[in-house]
Amino acid sequence: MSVSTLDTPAPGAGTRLTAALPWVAITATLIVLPLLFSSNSMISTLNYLGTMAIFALSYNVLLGQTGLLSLGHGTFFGLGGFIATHAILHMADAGVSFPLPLIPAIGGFGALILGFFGGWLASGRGGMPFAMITLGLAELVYAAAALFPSIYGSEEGVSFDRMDLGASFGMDYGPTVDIYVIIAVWFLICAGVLYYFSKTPLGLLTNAVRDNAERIEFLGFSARRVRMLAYAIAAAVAGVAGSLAALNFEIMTVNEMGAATCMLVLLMTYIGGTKHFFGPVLGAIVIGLMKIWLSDISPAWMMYFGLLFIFVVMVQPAGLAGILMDGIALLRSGSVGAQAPLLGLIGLAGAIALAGIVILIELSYRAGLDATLGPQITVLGLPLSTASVVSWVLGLVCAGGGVIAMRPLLDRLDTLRHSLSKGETA
Amino acid sequence: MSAEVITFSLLNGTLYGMLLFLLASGLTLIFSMMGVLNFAHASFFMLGAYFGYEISKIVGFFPALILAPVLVGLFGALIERYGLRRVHKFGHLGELLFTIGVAFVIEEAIQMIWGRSPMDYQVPEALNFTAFEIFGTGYPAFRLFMLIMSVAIFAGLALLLTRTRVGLIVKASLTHPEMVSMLGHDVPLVFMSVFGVGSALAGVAGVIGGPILITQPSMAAALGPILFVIVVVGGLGSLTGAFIASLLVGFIQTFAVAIDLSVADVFGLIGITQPPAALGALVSDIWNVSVSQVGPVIPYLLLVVMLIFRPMGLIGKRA
Repeated sequence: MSVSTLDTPAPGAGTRLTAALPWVAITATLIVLPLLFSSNSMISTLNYLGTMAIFALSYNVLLGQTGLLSLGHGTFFGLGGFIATHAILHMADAGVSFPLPLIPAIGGFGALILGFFGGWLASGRGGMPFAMITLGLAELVYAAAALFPSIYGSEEGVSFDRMDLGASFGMDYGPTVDIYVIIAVWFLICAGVLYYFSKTPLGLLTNAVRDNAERIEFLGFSARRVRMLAYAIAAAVAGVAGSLAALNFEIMTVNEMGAATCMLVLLMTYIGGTKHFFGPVLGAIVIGLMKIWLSDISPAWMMYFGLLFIFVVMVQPAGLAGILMDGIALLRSGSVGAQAPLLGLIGLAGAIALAGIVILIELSYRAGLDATLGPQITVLGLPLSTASVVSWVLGLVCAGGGVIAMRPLLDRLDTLRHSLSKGETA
Repeated sequence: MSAEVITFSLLNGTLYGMLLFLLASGLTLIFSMMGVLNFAHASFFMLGAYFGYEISKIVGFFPALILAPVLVGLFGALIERYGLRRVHKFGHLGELLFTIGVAFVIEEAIQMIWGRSPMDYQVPEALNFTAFEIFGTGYPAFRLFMLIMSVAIFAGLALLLTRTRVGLIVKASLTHPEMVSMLGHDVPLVFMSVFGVGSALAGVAGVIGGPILITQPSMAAALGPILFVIVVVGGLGSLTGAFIASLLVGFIQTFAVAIDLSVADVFGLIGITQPPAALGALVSDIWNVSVSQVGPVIPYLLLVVMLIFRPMGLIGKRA
């Protein structure tokens, strides 16, 4: 499922079937999920994850496919949401009947038009200038939004009632499950369209622009136009995601298009993995769940989030999807048995280092930000105290020991893999 | 606008502009060195403010003015040595993403240690007096001190880069790293030092800017985008361009606050006092917009206009 597949032979009946398999599996999962987790809060968690997954997929059109780092993608998420919000408010006022599930199409179309304009401004150059310009544009829109309270609302945002447009498709859109259906269908549409897009000539051109823009220019294509189109398409899908978020929460605020949203989508996509088509979805799910569950049990969740991002950037640029794919490749290679003891030790060292880091971070938060809660704290089932030296030393020893033990183990794994591959060729 | 307002705005604009330049100069040096805009630069500025606050509580403001930037500089050098240098193999994108991650973690760490509310970082006693009076209003000595510090550092940096052997080696390492390394200089060490010095400059700006701008966890996020506007508008990699753009943005922001004028006032001049109701809510929004409200938008508008008409920036060499 690599984004950069260039060798696509004419699909026979068999390959077509295998190509359809993941999509069947995803559809089945989307149908089964609400049956498994039927409580209202679980459904709204699923709704949130679904919108974020679409948002992250749209971002990967820029980051993974075209190699463009946009620091202002949240703008289109927010603008799409506001367009959808105002569309609903105006149609409800005018008494027009319009099926609610089609509202994201309006938000997406609006974002597409704005995306063309933004892309025209930003796409002259790739790389660093592109990142700076998108950052500037996002800040411009965000700062200017404060001047127009009638569009963007003031502090409390613009709210609406999603049932105002009336029932359609046999749903009245009161219960969260109805919104889940809308989000699931839009997820399939967006993922399908973006996957298809990555296989079109234009989609392949975006990969070429990422790898060598100069050469593309020599071949007679305009790298700028390719970037602009990718930018507009990404904006449109982000607009759909923003509209779905608006439908889910029935409110849009200016903060939705602020720097935090722009950063969130970057972190989700990159942590998930930009080199595989479904990597961003994985990232959206992991980060979304972290955001919802980890924030309940630890004040430090943002810190973990940032450290995870740095870890992925430094050690595993292919992201979580890359780790997953490596694991699958390992299972298929048939040499798991030989590597298992070493891999187990590496896993153990990693787990100890992680535990140490968690202990240190939790202790630091308790000693600093949450000092009023008292020095006693339970981390990973261990009763610790910010006042006792033992707790801090335990954290330091675990973190340091794990990291120090890791290096010789990794070296040994390299040697082992080297000798294994030699054995195969011999 | 009276002469009084103009004078004070000019003074404050120069001051703010010079403070911005302290930050932008380090950022520009690091950019010309590695081709990467250091996203964490404003975070080093914030670290400078917090270190300055904490150290000045113990040993007083003036030792802190030396110690805090040194600490920030060392921290920056460590980040370069053990972080940036390792992600270098993943290209500019990897480096930029790494600095974004660092900025994220620094902001969290500062909230972890000092909490989310602003610090009580006051102007030091020794400088808490009125320097001079114009138009019957006093100008605080600390602001004058900030101005002198910024100008002195700017002059020192310019002399160092253009008149000394060290400056020669640094400039040569930026453009011809292989050749400099052939001549027996340790280029990675030069890079690490430039990164450290750039971070230390941001630290100085933090120590002297902390008491005036509020020392709080959001100060990096508030200043960072403005810095990038300056570096892009000035022309990526140009120190002179960054200097001009810093002053420009400084003046724009101070004058916008000083000008008490709104769209309604302009129409008031030609006798229209109410927005035509038929045009709807959007027009009445625009009607109430004042210059001071537009102030925060102008730098970004400047950026966009610049990119359309002169993409290489004020003094940039290449588009």
